[in-house]
Amino acid sequence: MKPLISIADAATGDVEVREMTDDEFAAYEADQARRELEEAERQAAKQAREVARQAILDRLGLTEDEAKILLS
Amino acid sequence: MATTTNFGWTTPDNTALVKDGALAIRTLGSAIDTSFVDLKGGTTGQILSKASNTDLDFTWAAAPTASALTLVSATTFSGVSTHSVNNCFTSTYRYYRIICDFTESVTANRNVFFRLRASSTDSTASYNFVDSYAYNAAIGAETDPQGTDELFLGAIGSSLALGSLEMTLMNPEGAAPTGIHWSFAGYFSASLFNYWGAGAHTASTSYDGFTIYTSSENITGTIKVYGYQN
Repeated sequence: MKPLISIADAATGDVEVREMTDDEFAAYEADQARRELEEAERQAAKQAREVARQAILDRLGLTEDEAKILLS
Repeated sequence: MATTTNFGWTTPDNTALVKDGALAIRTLGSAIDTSFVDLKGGTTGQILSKASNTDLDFTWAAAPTASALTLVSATTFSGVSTHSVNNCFTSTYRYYRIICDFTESVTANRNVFFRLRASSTDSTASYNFVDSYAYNAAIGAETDPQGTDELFLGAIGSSLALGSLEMTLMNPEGAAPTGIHWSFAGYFSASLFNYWGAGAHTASTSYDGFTIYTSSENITGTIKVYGYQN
């Protein structure tokens, strides 16, 4: 069973509840796939920043807490 | 002399003489005429308003202007993935307010999104927004956190599956970019996760509705759309 959608018409007061059509379901799945890809990209970028940050701390010989004190 | 029950107007006694009838009618008529004098006058569109606590003390006054907010649409939705409202944005109002509360019972965190809609078709581009958020003690800001093809409103938690939305839209029916401000009080798991954001849907298109939907799972709630008096 495909996800349900509801559509209200403010002009008539009618509310329709039905399953997604094939086209709507395809768009729904495409949105989910896009979000997963974007989230993976965000996580990868975040991880890259963390690695670069740790490399700098190592070069300076500082701990995470010492860096926080320095930047606070 | 007999009098009427409510206003004490003088009426003839049963034993009064017929020859005095004309005077009795004139006396009664004059009393009524005097009592209701405040109803005389007024102009088209005015309403009658009490001038004091005294009986029949009225004055004509201007009709009140329409209320600042007018309910355009009120709907509930239950166990659906998306909820759309069509034909709620018209040329009647330039600015709109959307109020929505989600009451869930499922057990997964989920994101909630918004899209403008024209002729029953969602717009899937041109959402440009910046939001700030507070998650427990952490705060932050982000630009288009879920891309520009949808407006990310906030999150509904798994343990506390609640969320509430307030949104103001600037001229969505006009064929110009639509300014949007919103705040979303929600949860991630059982922790408060609140969002405040603003920006614009930058397409110069006229929209007559919108869709609210989740990344997964279903939503249940009530949504109301109000138009601001022009």
